[in-house]
Amino acid sequence: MTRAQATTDLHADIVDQAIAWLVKLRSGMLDAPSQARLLAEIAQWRQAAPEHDAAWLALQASEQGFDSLRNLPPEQALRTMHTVQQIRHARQGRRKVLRVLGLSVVGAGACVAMQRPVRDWAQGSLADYTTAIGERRMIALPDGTQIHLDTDTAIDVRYTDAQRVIVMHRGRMFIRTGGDIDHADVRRRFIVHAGATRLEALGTQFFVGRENDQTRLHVTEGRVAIRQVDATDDLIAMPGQSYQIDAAGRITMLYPLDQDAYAWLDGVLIAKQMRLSEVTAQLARYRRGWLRCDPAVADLRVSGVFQLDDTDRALASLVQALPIAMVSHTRYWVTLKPLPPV
Amino acid sequence: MLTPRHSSPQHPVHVLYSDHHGWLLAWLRKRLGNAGDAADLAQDTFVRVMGKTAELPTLREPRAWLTSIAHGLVVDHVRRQDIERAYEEVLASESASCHVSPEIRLMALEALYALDVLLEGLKPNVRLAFLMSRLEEMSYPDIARRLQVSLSSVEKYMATAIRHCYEFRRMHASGS
Repeated sequence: MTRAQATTDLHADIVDQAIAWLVKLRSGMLDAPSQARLLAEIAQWRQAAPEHDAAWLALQASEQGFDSLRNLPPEQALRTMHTVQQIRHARQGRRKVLRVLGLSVVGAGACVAMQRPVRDWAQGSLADYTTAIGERRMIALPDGTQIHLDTDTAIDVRYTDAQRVIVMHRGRMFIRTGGDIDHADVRRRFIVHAGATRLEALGTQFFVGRENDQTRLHVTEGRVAIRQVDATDDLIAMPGQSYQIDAAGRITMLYPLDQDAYAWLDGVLIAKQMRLSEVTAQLARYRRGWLRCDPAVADLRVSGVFQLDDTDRALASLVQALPIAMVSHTRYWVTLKPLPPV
Repeated sequence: MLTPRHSSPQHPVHVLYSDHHGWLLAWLRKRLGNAGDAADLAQDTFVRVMGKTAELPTLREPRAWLTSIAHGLVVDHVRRQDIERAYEEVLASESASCHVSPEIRLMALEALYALDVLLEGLKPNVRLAFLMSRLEEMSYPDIARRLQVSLSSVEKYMATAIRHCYEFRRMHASGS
């Protein structure tokens, strides 16, 4: 071993020791006497050799970046740093799934639980607010409006002096409109753009879903006016009512009302004697890649409550409860098949 | 922008500009999705080029060289955008009547940017655990509960993060 190598090796050990001390010191698990003992040990170690002291000071200096954040409320800094990751995650998630979709081949006879035209994915990629697949998020806007975004949702927020507009590109959201009390004397109109349809709200709570040029509306409180470009009259949706507006602008009222369809707001999927194909279609929305269910088992009935943040666990419980097997062709391609005959 | 010294059409920077500026602009527009930002960064790239005129004579692949400069600027730009967007979102989600002065906002964005650069490369859990410890002074057991990992995992995350910051400073510190 050359002399230079020996110096480097020693240095690495010293740094490791300093790191171990620092990890322990910042654990928040030490009572006062233990803390005092540890500090004394560290002081002794530092005095034992100039390299020890240098290593300790270097570690302290390397965390200087946190000092300049002392002026910010700590929770604000932490949430910002976390939100940055979510923004990046959403961008990467979209690119990843585009690649996966490009490679997958749809087999004949299998019922595909998730299939989207590529155009749908590209749309809204530069939207103001997006959620990644499997991500749910709440946004609070300055006028007091709260918007809960479901998985894989993209919206634009276009607030002007005259009005408040939300452009819905795709996905599902739940809106609680805010009072807009800070804005001048007049509460601005609140309008959702969903394709060519305009949904105007007044002191309202409502769900909007948009997929493949179809829009769904469910009002829980207040009223929403459904306005088409060439229609003369608005259709007023009342609390408890659900409507579907198709690409051609035809409005249909939906019966019967399915309250469980909005359980995503609480982070769960509620199934009551639901067909397995429908359960997998819903879970698929929260998973990257493909989740398919073989036609042979599509009609099996499922009841239960599934956590949307843990679809792997949901699938595991389905496999336990039903005569099915889960086949993972790749990490991004899972199929539910009937159990092979024994 | 071009000084008298550079104004001769034969000057290498001028030639580089007229040969490749348009191409670079299109390259940037594709990556940024925004013509205004692309124009700004194209200009910034050539400002950088002005400081590297010594490399011009031996340049074999001018476009590859330009894009390697531009790439760094794009990463930087996107990072600043992400941080600004995240900061605005967080502010907006807090009290609607709380306003941040421009000075504080600027300081905050600078500090958050520097922190993001420092933590670049850390796995998401490591980064989050480290931030919880340093920004909110959370204890390791609390972090373990929040992230749903073991206590020993949190300790490993901390060691990894501290070492990362140490190596970062070694690489970027000027002089000692």
